[in-house]
Amino acid sequence: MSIIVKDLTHIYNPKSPFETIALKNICFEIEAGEFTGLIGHTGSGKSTLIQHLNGLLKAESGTILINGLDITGKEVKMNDVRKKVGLVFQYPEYQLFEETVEKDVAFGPGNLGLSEKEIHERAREAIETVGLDYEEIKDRSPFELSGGQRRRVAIAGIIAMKPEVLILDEPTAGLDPRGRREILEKISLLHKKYNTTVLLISHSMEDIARLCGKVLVINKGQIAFSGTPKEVFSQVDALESIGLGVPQMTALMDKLSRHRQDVKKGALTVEEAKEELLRLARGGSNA
Amino acid sequence: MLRDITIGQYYPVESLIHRRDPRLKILAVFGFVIVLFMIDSLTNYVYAAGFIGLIIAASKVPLKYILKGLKPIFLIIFFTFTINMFLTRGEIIYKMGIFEITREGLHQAVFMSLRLIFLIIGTSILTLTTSPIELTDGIERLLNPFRRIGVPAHELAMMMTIALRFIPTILEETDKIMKAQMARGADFESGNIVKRAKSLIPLLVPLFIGAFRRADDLATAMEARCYRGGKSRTRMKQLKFNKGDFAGSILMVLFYGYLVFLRIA
Repeated sequence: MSIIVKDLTHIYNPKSPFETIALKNICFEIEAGEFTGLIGHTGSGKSTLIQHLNGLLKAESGTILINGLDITGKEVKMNDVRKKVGLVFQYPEYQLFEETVEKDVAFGPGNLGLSEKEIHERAREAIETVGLDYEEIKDRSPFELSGGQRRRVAIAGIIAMKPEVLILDEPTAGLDPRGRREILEKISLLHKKYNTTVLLISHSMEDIARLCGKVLVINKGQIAFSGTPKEVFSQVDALESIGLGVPQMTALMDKLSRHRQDVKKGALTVEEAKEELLRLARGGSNA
Repeated sequence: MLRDITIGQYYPVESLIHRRDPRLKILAVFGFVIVLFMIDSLTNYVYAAGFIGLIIAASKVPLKYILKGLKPIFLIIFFTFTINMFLTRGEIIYKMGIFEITREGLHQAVFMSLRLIFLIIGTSILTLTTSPIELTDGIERLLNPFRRIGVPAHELAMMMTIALRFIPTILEETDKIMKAQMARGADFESGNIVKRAKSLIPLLVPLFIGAFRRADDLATAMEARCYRGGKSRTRMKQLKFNKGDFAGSILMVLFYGYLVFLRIA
């Protein structure tokens, strides 16, 4: 499913002393099956933006086309949009409410009007997709699980709805390194397996560089840059000036290049940096 | 929907009313409520309306904003009005089937509704023009004399500050959880009463869990900073009654006195 956003503007508490312009003339496109990263520092409007994409917030002006359908139109049924665009909020484990894990995961599909069997099947599949042991966990209370497990149950609750677009707002915030790695792996797997369009918000530039085919940078409610990770992360100074950074390896190579003219910048991962360093060590011949 | 709730909200502008000592404002509202329930002629309500009107004008809070706060209690006013109108005994002026409207009932209905409306407007002006901190400082100071008879003034004030402080937080949290459940296809708006009540479970369970967690965190945070209420606590901002506050008190006493005098005489 493709997403096209045109001239999107959103104002919180219009016409009151609390008025704030959260988004201003946002324009971007995400093609079907793309894995896109969205970065921006706290309060830049990321969370506001994604809430527009499944109709939870109404824009002041502008259009949002999901697969060619304008969801800002009045006659659009929001539940149809939400069926297709799955949104995982920040700290989604705080939305769990059911007695058992399985019931909680089944809440979303249950709202889609599916058959009992289908709901059950989807819940099982989703729980397994996020890497939990279905048989072991299905009858436990979500409140007795660890933080990382609860996060995964909450994500499974969205995945069970089989959305064609999956939007995740900092799914790894507050998790330990292992929890982070596992969740990102599962998302990446989902993207490959079902060709789901993914939009990922993260503060980890490394994760964004490693996973995403495209990066959107948002600053003060406006799109500052967009492009491939290589293009975006080549703007080291500009990104730093808006309170963001680049992957550590990119920063390292950038620093090196200030001392040696022949260092090629733009490495995003450790692997790429290693290759470039080896090339230099060999005398920098085979450029 | 949730943004309509303005109870306890502070409207941050600079005005004559905002600058007044919170103690004066609390006493003024207290007096206003008493006077409201004493007066019983339309002319006196016109005076009261004029008084409130002047204060709203001086407070620089848009009238529309204050009236918006009346929306949630519109239903209560409506019920009060109907029940009073139909269920008060007296001289019948209109009859239709088993419904009869009496002169006394109509009178009672109009006055009760007016009282409720003025009550809400009066108290919302207090919270709109007084920040929560000022408000509780004021309450604490006003309750101080009662400490001798065992009223835990400081604790009450602190509980109120915390309650007021968390109204917007809980509203925000409600909004967030509602959205999260709506993203999972929850529907809070359609269906009959039973269905709607049921649809609130996914909202209420996380909300309560969150509220208890927050309370626990806050208590720990306060303890970690060695919080102890009461005697030895000092304040950065001392409340001070200035000339404007004295002038305000005199005006207030004169006006309330006049209304009470009209009632008694």
